[in-house]
Amino acid sequence: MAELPKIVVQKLRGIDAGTSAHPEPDLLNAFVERALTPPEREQVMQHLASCGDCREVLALAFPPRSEANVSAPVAASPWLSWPVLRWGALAACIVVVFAAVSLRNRSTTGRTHLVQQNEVSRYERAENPATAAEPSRKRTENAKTSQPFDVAQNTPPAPLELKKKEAVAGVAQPAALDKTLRAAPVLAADNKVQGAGGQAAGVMSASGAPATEARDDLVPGRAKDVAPVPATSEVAAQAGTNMAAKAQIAVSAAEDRNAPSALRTRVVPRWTLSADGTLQRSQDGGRSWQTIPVPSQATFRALASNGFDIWIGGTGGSLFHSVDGGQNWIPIQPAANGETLSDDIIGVEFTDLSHGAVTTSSSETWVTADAGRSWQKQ
Amino acid sequence: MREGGVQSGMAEPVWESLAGELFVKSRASELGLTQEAFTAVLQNIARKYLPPGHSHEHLRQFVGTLRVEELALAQACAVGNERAWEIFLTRYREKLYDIAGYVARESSAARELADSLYADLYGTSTRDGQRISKLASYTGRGSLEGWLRTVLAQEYVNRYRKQRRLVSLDEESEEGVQFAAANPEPPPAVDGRLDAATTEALAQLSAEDRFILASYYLDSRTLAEIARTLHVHESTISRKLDKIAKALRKGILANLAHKGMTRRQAQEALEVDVRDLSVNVRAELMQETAPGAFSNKKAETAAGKTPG
Repeated sequence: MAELPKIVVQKLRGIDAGTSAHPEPDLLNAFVERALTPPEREQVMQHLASCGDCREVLALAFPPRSEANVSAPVAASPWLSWPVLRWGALAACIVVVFAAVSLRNRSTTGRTHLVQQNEVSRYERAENPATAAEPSRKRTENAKTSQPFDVAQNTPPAPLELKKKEAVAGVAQPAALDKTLRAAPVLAADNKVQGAGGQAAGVMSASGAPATEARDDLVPGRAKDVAPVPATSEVAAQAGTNMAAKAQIAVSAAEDRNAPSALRTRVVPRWTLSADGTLQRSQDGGRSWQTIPVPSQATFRALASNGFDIWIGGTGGSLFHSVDGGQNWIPIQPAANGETLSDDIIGVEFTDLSHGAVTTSSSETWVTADAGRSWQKQ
Repeated sequence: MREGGVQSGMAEPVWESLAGELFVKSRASELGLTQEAFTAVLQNIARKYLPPGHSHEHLRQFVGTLRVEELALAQACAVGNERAWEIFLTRYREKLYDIAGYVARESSAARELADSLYADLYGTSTRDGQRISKLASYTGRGSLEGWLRTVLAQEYVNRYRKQRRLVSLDEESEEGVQFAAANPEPPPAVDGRLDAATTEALAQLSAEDRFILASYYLDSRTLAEIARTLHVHESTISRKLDKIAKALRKGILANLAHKGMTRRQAQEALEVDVRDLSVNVRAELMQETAPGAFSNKKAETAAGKTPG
């Protein structure tokens, strides 16, 4: 890049916006979102060229890159307008797809061949029991590569087989998981949630039945957020529509390494509060939403979530906590020094599973450092 | 009245039909706003942004770009409608904290920023008994979320600017009063012709070109950040910067030639920064042995004297 003479940089620094008024947030935002007319844009640009503060505001006003990629399309690169390069790109795509399909067919054929070998070996063993010991080692070695659905094998199977295997496991396990959760409600009888004033909060499932088992066993892994898990494009493309949902489970399984194995294949849900204050959950990245019942008549206005750990707050000081993705709820009554939280809750924020703060409509803030077992009013 | 157009004191029938459509589209009635009140808001916005004497078509196009649903929500919140606040909090409270976290980067500053803005949005202050909410100034030109982001960014920059000034004053009082430094030498004057030529060359650039230069050389933004601002590819900005720098050099040299310098003199004037030169000379004088001839010769050249 050509150097700029220092005198020019000095001059640029000396150029001042002068008495030109700073654009209002509406105009700057419209500039960011490309909603200005050309004359308005030129006017704003004139100011930005000479005002460092407004340039800084503009830089901060742009959404983070991940969001901007969705909403702000970049102008098409000019080189794609060359027909030769366009057709070349298309040809390259076809070659890549063809190669991928060929590789897949080859690996499938290879696996079939090995399975056939094993069948032959078994047949031979049945015919010749004396030779059973010798081929067993060979069969074991073959088994490592011929039984891709066995998770415990040391030799890693091919990536497609691995994902298929996890997907099959993932399909099987949620039913078992649901059964586990239904049989083991949230808290043990001696492990109740209490406010600092000694009030005990009973544990209730969404249906109102009391819980009896320890909650630590069912604390889910600390999935980072409730953002939708992107479908693994390679698996979805190759295995068809049916595999798309299974692939999603496999990807979340690969990411959620700290979760107990029983929970590893659960999809991290997304949460929201509807306009009428009911809690809603999506398990398909926001495509569809289900209303989640909470044992309360309150209208909920605030929500904080960390994977399957959910806090919701609403009218009349209603505060509920779930550690299993909304299946069971614990009503929480923050109390400290004889005072209890009773105003409408308008904000709930948890930085991790233990540390959080609740804000009310009367500008009170209640904080906890032990996941709601005790509270302090600030 | 102009043919095909209307005066800015807009004809009532025009506004009635437009406002009716927009009132339904915005669902303002669900938030306690009357059609009259909402129409008044729209008229104020049109008066603010449209030139006098605009046509029906221009008005229709303009109001068609407004985010009327978000505008209705903001206006209803500004007047204290509870239902509107429930919706606003549900949709934007967490986002506000996320945006503040992105802007301020540090969690306690972010929380303070968000809480402070929240108070301004809610309208904790009053004037003549009327609640003053910042949401009343939202006009729907862009999204409400984007507007919140911009307001937060402005508030953050204003606070940071104040803190910078305060720190500077503290440093100045400590150093200036107790340890008064010797009066520094006045900075060497740049050749007036070079100064004028540079000013003229810069004035010929477009606002966008000057914005790109300022962002890159003054604000130290990356090519990617500048590209994102202008919605172009990073390579486009790289090529533009190169092109602008070359055009500037060419323009300055042409202006200097026009002012009587030879090409060689003009090039040397542009290459040598007199401030660097004077520092070098001072350093040379402080050394025991100083090869000053070359430096002196360069100084004479920079001052416009013909060498030899």
